[in-house]
Amino acid sequence: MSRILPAVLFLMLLILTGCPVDPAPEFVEGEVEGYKPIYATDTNFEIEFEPARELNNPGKIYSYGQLLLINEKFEGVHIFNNANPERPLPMGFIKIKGNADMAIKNEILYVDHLQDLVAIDISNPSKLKILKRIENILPQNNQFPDQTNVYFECVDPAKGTVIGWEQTIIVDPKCYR
Amino acid sequence: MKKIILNILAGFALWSGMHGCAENDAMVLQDSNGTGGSMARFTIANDYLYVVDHTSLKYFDISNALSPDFRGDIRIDQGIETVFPYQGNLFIGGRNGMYIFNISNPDKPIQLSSYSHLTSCDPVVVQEDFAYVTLRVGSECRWGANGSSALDVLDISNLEQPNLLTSFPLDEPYGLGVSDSLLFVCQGNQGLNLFSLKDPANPIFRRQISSSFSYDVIPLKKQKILILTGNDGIEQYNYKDPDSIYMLSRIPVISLEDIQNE
Repeated sequence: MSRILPAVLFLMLLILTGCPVDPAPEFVEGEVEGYKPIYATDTNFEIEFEPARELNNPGKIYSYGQLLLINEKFEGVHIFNNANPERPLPMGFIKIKGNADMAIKNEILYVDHLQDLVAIDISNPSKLKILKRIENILPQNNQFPDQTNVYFECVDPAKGTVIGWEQTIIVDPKCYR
Repeated sequence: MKKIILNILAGFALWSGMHGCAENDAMVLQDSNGTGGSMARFTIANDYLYVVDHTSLKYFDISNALSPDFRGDIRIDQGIETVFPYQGNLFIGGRNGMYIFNISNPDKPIQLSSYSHLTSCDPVVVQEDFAYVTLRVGSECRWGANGSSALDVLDISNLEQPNLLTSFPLDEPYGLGVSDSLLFVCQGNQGLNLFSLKDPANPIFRRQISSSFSYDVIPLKKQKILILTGNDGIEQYNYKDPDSIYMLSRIPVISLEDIQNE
């Protein structure tokens, strides 16, 4: 059974993705470069303004007037007052689970929030206003990583909701796409 | 272990304290859209938000700020990664190539062309008649592809027929940014590299500006300030004088792994 399972999973994945994938190389044993799922550490998925916190795993950056926004991978967005680039001042953190991307126009911040696109009024960052949420418009990233032709650690639903993927060294991978 | 965490927290508190708590400062915001890095999947052009996911271009009418409206999507290819807007066109970077879409009718993007490369990853930036594309060969790119990482320069004076001019071999390019005669290329472990574009068709390597692992850049062309993101933090540089580019500030990164490993 344990020998068949990976093959079945891979076949299911092929069917799920519905597109041709290069044939998987042999599943190697031991350590290999790949992706592992990041599970949400809590179950609160609300978008919230929080006090400034340190950068742990910064992602993309965005400059808007005097604001500098820095994505914290799959956690949210740090906001800095960058009026003086010699001294960027931390203003706060917008918690947005699963977030990686952002853009701003006319003081409205557009972000990905798991599968949703959300428009947030940030004219007063500490008093965020969610203007609109377009649900399920962005692709699911909670079953496999964006990248193809990569090994990844299979998702275990018992561990919670997957909010992102991390490139790392994984051991005895059983999933590939 | 506990002590280390406390020290780090104290350090951060001190650092935030030194910089003051600016939460309620009145902000001067600009009444238009901002600027993202070359790795962005979101971009705004006029009243539209464009989003690239792995396979398609999605577009949203955001003229009514209270109610952004999903207008449609166009399937492009697999492995789409980045979008860069330039003068009424979108330059989309993907694993298999670069795609140019005209958005003069924002509600109906039209694909003008594609430029294929077989061994790549990563983004594209554009200035005048030239597109600069970094190609990174890595495990997350096409499996088993042969080839090497490079900076490609394309002539895009005819948007319907991008033409490869030069290919400059590089080790590990990620994001990039262009500002007049300067091209900034993030080179992973080799830091941020500066190229001269005196001849825009032939970038010439000048020197390394930052040695920390660098991932993406935003050149703020008016202020001549470069914002760099990398493993050591978010660094800002003044590049008014290309011969003496200097760091203005760094927002540090506190690695969770470092905390756990100590």
